[in-house]
Amino acid sequence: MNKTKWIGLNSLIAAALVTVVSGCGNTNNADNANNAPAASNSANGSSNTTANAPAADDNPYKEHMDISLSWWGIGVGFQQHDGLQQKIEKDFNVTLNPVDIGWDNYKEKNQVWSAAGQLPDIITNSIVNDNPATYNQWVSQGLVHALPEDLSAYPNVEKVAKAQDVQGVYRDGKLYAIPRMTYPNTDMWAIDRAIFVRKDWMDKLGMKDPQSFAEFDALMKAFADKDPDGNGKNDTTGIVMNTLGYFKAVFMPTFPQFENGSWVKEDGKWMPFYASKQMDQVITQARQLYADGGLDPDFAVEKAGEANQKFYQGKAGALALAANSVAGSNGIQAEWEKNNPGKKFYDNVKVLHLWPSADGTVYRHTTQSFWSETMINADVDDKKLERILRIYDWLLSPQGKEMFDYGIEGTDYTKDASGTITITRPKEGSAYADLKKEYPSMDIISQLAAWRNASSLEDSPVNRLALGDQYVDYIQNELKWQLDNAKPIPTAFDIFSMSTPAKDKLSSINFDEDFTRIVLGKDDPVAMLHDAQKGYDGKGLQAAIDEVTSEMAKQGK
Amino acid sequence: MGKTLGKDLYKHRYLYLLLLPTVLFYVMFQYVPMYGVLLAFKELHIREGILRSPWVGMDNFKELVAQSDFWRAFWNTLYISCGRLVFEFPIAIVLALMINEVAREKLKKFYQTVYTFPHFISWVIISGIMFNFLGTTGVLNQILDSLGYHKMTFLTDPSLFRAIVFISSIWKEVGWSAIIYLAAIAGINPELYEAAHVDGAGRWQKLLSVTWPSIRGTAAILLILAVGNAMNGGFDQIFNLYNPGVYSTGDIIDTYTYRSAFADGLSFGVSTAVGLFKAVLNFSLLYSANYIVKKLGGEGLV
Repeated sequence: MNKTKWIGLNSLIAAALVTVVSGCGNTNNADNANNAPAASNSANGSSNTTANAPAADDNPYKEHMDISLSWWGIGVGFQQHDGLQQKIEKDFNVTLNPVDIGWDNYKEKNQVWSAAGQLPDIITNSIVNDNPATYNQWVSQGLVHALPEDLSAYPNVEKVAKAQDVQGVYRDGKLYAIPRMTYPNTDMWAIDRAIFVRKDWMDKLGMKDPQSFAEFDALMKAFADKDPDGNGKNDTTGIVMNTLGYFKAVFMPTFPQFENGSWVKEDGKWMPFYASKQMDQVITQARQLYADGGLDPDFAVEKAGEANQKFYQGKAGALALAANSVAGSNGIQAEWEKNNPGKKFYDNVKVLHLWPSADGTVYRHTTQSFWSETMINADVDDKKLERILRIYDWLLSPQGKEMFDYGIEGTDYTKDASGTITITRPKEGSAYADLKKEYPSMDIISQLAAWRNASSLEDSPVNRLALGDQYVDYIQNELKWQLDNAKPIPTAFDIFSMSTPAKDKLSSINFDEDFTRIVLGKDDPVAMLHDAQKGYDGKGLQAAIDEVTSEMAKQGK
Repeated sequence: MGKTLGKDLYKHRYLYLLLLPTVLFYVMFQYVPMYGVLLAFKELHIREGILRSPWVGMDNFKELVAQSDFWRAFWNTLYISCGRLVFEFPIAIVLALMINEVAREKLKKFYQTVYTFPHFISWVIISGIMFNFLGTTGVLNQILDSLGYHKMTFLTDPSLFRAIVFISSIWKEVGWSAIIYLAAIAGINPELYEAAHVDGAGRWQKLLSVTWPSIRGTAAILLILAVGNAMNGGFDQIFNLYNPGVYSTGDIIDTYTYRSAFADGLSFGVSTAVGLFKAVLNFSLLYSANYIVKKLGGEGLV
């Protein structure tokens, strides 16, 4: 080989190597901006930010910014880059780069991104209550930005930061997350759980509303065994669930705190629900329901939302979900009527009101006023933090609410000098065209800072116009019934976000998995439960009980 | 010696140069990342990185062995891996021998394609297919129901889970695994068959005396590799098929590590400790299998 060839060969090999190395190493290039999160590459963020002070320039939005933002299913919602998204981007002079996360694995994704230093600028997560150990770790290791101590420049964010429930989220006097408030008060959680049931099937089978668990089990068993649809086939089941969380409502009369996953005081000690003696009865009933065929036999293998189809398609007699899930183009009413042509949802399906517990009290669902939270990547600089907080403040403002209720002013509605609103968007049948269809990003943007569940529950002209009188009346009646007849689950709200060394480690206990395993099992369910409870001691359960009991004693509880 | 090596290197310098990118690739992407195992003895501080995180000695291992779930996963991994060696490994050989016996070339190719095709379907898709097939409203249960039998919960029954794992894995991979044996069979000198024919051997005798001895070496090497891979119970497959109801028989070390690291909030250090534990065990199994094969007169890997 001559010298020229030798040099040529070497150059080729070197080029190949460089290509391979750079190709494998570059995980965060511009092409995959929609999939891989891109943290801000700005200077280290500092909690001593001056973000609350308005920029010296007259226009605080003069400088254009790219902000990466994670949310469940944001890739699809932002794909169309609709008018609503464009408006937000224009008003705040930003480009929002969507970073998709899924309901099934968002916690895992966030963990992986945190370890790889690739968290997006705005992080959507639910670790404050669900996994305080991880939250503490993120805070102590400086992964997330502290919010400025003075939030007066962002009054709507400040309101959230000052809410009573949120005080447990502070660490060393600083707030590292913006909790995503669900309702303005804990009463409104009452209709966040509902057992929908086929009224027509009950009538056909001559069954009445159950007044005890035994009667509920008999009803579900009848749905499974007695061919309620009369097609001559053994193809129906009792209750299906959107997720296990909704199904737990069935056990509210038996052990209320199991339903909302809170702690309970028993024999002078505070303990998580799964350590309580009352779980014996819950697990016995759950196994019975499953063994009798009243519980969907596939409940453990179906992914979130999959089983709903069984209810819509007339394969199940009951569905555990939220009452307000009835509305919307993908809501229960629309889905059910699509699968049952010619039948009216409200004539054939009703919400089953739960029976009284042993002390005669009917309980209703309640929990903390927030679920999940927004965090800001610690790498975000002060300027970008300010911009993000301004966006969030607007999202939480009355002006933001007006947009989520009515759409874009001038396009979807007009407002005169007196503030009277006239909706100008076209009608579809008796109701106005669904804003969420026009703006696929609406669901996401409207929920970024708060779940806004309360909006769809209001008896307002806009809801009557957009969602129909029947829906509004149904929600109002249901809410009234719950408030008049049921009491909220006695809940130790303080413990949700309380952090003690042993309590933080309890996040390694996944009781839902054990619950599912025991329900599906063949051995004595109570013995299996006690076995699982003993296993929790090895994960620090007793130490956590002692620590929390001691903390609560200090507060006189 | 040194001189000879130097001379030899110089003599074949272009060949070694061609080898260099591969060696560099392995060093950079297979050996350098191995420093990550340090995490098994550290508590990861994410912003500090692995090297600057504090040492915690054997704490991660102590936390690990105290978890009953880990031991359940450990034994499940062993059972499932042994099952794969017993049920899945020989079937590929049998299939290769059977396909080889098909006389018509076109038919042989057809069978080979049919058996190989499922390899290209991902476990995510297969899990969906299996749910439709084995779920309580699935095809199999509809058949059972129409025959008057009770419906069965195939996918949530721990006693059936391993069988489902083995059967689905055989269905998906047997054709692919058989390819290497078919290649070995294709390399057998036809004269051996002709000689056997002259000696009056039938098809069965040819199979036993010519085909099998010719592919035995390949089978031995693949067996060593399979044993070395024993502690990898097949994450993709199990992860897509399992549910809490079958953890007792189906949760393997890999799925346990995944859940403990990402879902249940155990530290990355503990999860790395699991990985290291598994790798050491795999390494010793590989050497043991290699040793046994060599003792039995076969050719080992090392």
